[in-house]
Amino acid sequence: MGHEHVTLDELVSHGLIAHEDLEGVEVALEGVEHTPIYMQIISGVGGLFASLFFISFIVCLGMEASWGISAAGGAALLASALFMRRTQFSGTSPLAQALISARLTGVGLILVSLGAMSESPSLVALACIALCAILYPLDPDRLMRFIATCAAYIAGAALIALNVSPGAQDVPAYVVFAAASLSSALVLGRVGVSPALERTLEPLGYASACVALVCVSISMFDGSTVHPAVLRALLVLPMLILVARAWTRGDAQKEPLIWASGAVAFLALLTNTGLLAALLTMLLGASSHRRALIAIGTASLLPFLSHYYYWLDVSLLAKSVALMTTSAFFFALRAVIRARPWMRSTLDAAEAT
Amino acid sequence: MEHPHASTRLDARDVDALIDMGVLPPAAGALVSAPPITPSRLARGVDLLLLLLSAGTGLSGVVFFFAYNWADMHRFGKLGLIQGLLLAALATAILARTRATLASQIGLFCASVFVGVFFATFGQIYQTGADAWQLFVAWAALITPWVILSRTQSQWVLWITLVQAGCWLLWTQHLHPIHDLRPEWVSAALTTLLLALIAARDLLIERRNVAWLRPMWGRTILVAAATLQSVGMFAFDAIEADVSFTSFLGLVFYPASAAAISWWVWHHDRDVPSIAIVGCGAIAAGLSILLRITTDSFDIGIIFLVGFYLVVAFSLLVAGLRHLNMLERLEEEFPHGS
Repeated sequence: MGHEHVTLDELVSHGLIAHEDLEGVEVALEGVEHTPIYMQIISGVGGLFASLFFISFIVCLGMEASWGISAAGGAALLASALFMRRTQFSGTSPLAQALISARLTGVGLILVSLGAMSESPSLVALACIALCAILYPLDPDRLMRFIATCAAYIAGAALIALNVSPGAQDVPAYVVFAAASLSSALVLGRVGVSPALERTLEPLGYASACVALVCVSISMFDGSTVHPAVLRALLVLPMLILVARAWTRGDAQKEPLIWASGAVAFLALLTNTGLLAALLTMLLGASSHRRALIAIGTASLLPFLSHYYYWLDVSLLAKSVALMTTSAFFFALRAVIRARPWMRSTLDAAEAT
Repeated sequence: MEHPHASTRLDARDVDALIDMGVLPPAAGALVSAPPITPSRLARGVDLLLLLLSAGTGLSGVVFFFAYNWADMHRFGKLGLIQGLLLAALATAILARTRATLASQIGLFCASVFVGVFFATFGQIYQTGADAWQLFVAWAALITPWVILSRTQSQWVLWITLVQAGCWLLWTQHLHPIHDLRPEWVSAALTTLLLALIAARDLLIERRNVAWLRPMWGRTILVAAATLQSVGMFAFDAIEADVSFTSFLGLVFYPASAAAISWWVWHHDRDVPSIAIVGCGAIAAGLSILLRITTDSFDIGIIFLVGFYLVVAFSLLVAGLRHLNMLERLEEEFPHGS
């Protein structure tokens, strides 16, 4: 189970398609479109902005007397848009974009109405988490799954902030960070996740990685009530998962991972948590060969480096020494790894091609 | 008898798409997985990551060090140290150029950054009174020969960033307060420079087969910078609604440059991501027009109108991009209409 390719014959032998339908599958295959990631981003941004305007419009209309109707309308909009997406229109249909906005507007309306009726932010947060959990498996769009995961994390943070740690805004960030970084390492690092489940959970993994980085940046604000060492300890958790996974593999694969994890752990002692989190994201991307994750980590390096530059607790000289020591460490580590026989043969093979 | 298509192989993305289209049942997803990570890919990924991290943290460390303005260090020591680092980076670039191209490129890039660090430290020590734009312009001018010789896109991106920063600082510190020059002229000049670079890049690939320019990310950055600059000016003039020739320039320049970019990138490479950037710019431009029209008579209905506009605009954009993607794929599969 879970090979890189499957033939139409194998699909027939598993009883997933009838022999006489093969021609139809072949025709459909010619029309298959793979949506590039930049199109998904454009689609998501467009859908989110449009739904924000629609929800604002309905709120501005003044629905005080009829929040129940508004919630029911939101639920109807969500259900009909989801039904149409699942049964009538594929993700490549021109109407798919409008259906994204409709689903987001529907969810937004339900939550806004619920908030207005109950006047309980905790209930709204709980409802948001429940809705996201229900919609994740039902919605076929990876983009919507990504958004649902982000929304669930935000709602979770709000729930903790409102009920567990009122007044300490960084505690929710730490808790959500721990959950998000662990989830991303488990899903994207393919630890204990079957191939089929991994593809279903991939949007959750990417969203978790993004949320983890945002949480780190929040926790780095002044006035944090938790010592940075706690966050760094939390950061080591996904790294341990990566190393543990590496032990289950062949020598050639586990060694670079373990070396790189050691390097990141070393950096944890020297610089700040933001840089560490960005590097960890890049490491996760490199180890699972996911370019998008490397790009996310790289993009977050610049703001974290800027934050490190303006961080007043440590002098620029100390920061400079930390960075240069890290650089020397990485350089030496690379030299050691490149001298290993398996790496030498890999690089020679790459140069030959 | 075996069906002629029975041996057709599907990967994970094909299966996902066919499930989405309702052609295959969801259970088909369990038969196929994403490509595994091969040991060689992992090894190369970690090797590249460590090299980039080493260079990045080292370079940042040097910048931090000189930003510290170490008072105990004599000025000659400071400047000498930077020049030493600059020479070391240059030596790395020269020595590694034959067998390790990436290390050589990183060395030259570091040398280019050290030129700026040298200028900044020089200005810090001697308090020359020079405006900030002079630092960027001199920096860009001095590294120009390296940029030309480097045959690296990252060097060009650094150079363009410096030129852009220098020109906008020149406008902020000199041209606007003293000569009352409108920003449209700077925007138009810089966008024209970016368009010229895009054209030069493509012509060099087409006529001279310049391999190092082939990776598309360089052009994507140029298109993004040109779009951002011209759309920003368009939105500024559309909302300000000042009746003058320069405002007219700002309003006309964006549609003209967007059309030119779209035609050019499609004609040359079927570059759909670049057209996507131009399309996002067009949506922003349309939004600025909508805001201009509705500013004087604000009504709740306008919020709905904006939402409706966004749905329609993004739907058209995504549908158009999908169509172009499909055309590109068909042209790849059936070149010259075969």
